[in-house]
Amino acid sequence: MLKKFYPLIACVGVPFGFVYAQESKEAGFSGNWMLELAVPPADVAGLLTLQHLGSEWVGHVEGGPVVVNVGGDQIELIIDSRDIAGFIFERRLLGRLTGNVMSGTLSIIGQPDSGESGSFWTARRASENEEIIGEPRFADLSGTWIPAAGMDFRKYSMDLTPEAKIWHQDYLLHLDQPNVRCVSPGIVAMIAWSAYPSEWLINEGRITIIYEVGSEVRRVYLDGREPPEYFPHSPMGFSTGYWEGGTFVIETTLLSRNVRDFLGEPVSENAKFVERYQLNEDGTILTAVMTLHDPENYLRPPIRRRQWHRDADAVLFPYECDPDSFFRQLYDEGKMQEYIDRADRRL
Amino acid sequence: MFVRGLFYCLLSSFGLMPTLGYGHHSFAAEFIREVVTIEGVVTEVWFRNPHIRYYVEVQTQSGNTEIWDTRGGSATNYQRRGSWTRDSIKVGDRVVMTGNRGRDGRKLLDIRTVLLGDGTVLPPGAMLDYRHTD
Repeated sequence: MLKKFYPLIACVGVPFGFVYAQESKEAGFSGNWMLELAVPPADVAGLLTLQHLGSEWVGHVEGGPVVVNVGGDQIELIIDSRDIAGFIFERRLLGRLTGNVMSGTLSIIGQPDSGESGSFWTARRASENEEIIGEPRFADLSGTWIPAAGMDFRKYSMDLTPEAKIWHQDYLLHLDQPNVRCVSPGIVAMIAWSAYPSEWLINEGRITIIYEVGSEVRRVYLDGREPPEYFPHSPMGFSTGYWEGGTFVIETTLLSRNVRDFLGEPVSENAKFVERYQLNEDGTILTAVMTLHDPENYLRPPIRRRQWHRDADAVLFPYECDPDSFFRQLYDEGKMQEYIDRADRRL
Repeated sequence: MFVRGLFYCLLSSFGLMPTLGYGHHSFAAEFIREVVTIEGVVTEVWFRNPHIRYYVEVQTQSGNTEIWDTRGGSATNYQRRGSWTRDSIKVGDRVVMTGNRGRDGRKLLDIRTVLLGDGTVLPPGAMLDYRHTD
């Protein structure tokens, strides 16, 4: 009796089972992943978050939106990044999910000035707060630190709030970025610049960090104190630090309005910047994961990563900055009035 | 002349090289990927942060002169290495420079290499060591 229905069962059941199996496979992509790209001379790493919302896949890398296409156990990611000059390019990742690991090939769309070309990538399950290098342990962070290459995705676009998008849409990098006229871009942008050393001085209840760029000085209080009443907002903000296991955490508030990166997205006065530092086993490499919590401007917190090498012989050079070249160019190109008219863009 | 010929001979490969380092603001805001070569006389030297700058007077094919605003990285990073200092290029020096052209036809140059009159080529090593990354 049932046999005569076999074709019907097959007709309905097989595709249903196929669709079910497909959806089951696709569901395996949801969640947080630690994404790593093999990009010589140093690997690039970042947090990948995938969500299946209705029929749509939504993806973010380091807090910024990415294109996601999923089919069965295969995935395509397109991630916009900027190179060290500010030129935009995209990384296209094609791969497959096997168990709890994704892996595949990486190709480049555009011409990054790093010369980066095709390579490979992997992603493994991660939590949003996972530290990716080394076991946590207490460490002596004193000394002079020289920036190392790699690590940071330099993710270009971020998930701005509607208000931040409106503010940012008319931003002109060459006129509005504070550092082009020697005004501090603030700790959020500055700390990710990879060319300049910093010197960490450990004192009773305090770490003082001197940055070569801009000759900026920062005090990180370790005694849990609150900022003094009337302490002003400033580019370096007010920082407190504490150890969480072996991870040194710095939390910074009272930042002045400033920029996140080359794109000039805003940082509000109510932002909190959290840096999580870890030292490797032999104490020679310092790694940081830095997250900007600023819900006024970002729907997801932007994340950056950096590494530094300890160098006992390094000496910080003086860094005087003269805005002459900026204003001279405005004058030469007849743009002084435009600059004056854009006062509201100068945060 | 031989040195200059050799330099020009090498330009094609320089032009294809990736840029190895940049200043700490977006050069893409002011420069394009196209690499050009200019030859002229230095009229002004500015060896300071946030980036070094040389004004170069260039004779055009039509016989006119134009002033190019040429830029490098931060003076601090150059000073650290010692082989490209504020005295390396002086007012009155004849130079041949390659670099990224400014946007919108502006006479801006993001310097990659400089050939001096005595045959010295700057930077002496990889530009990455002299120009900083973000």
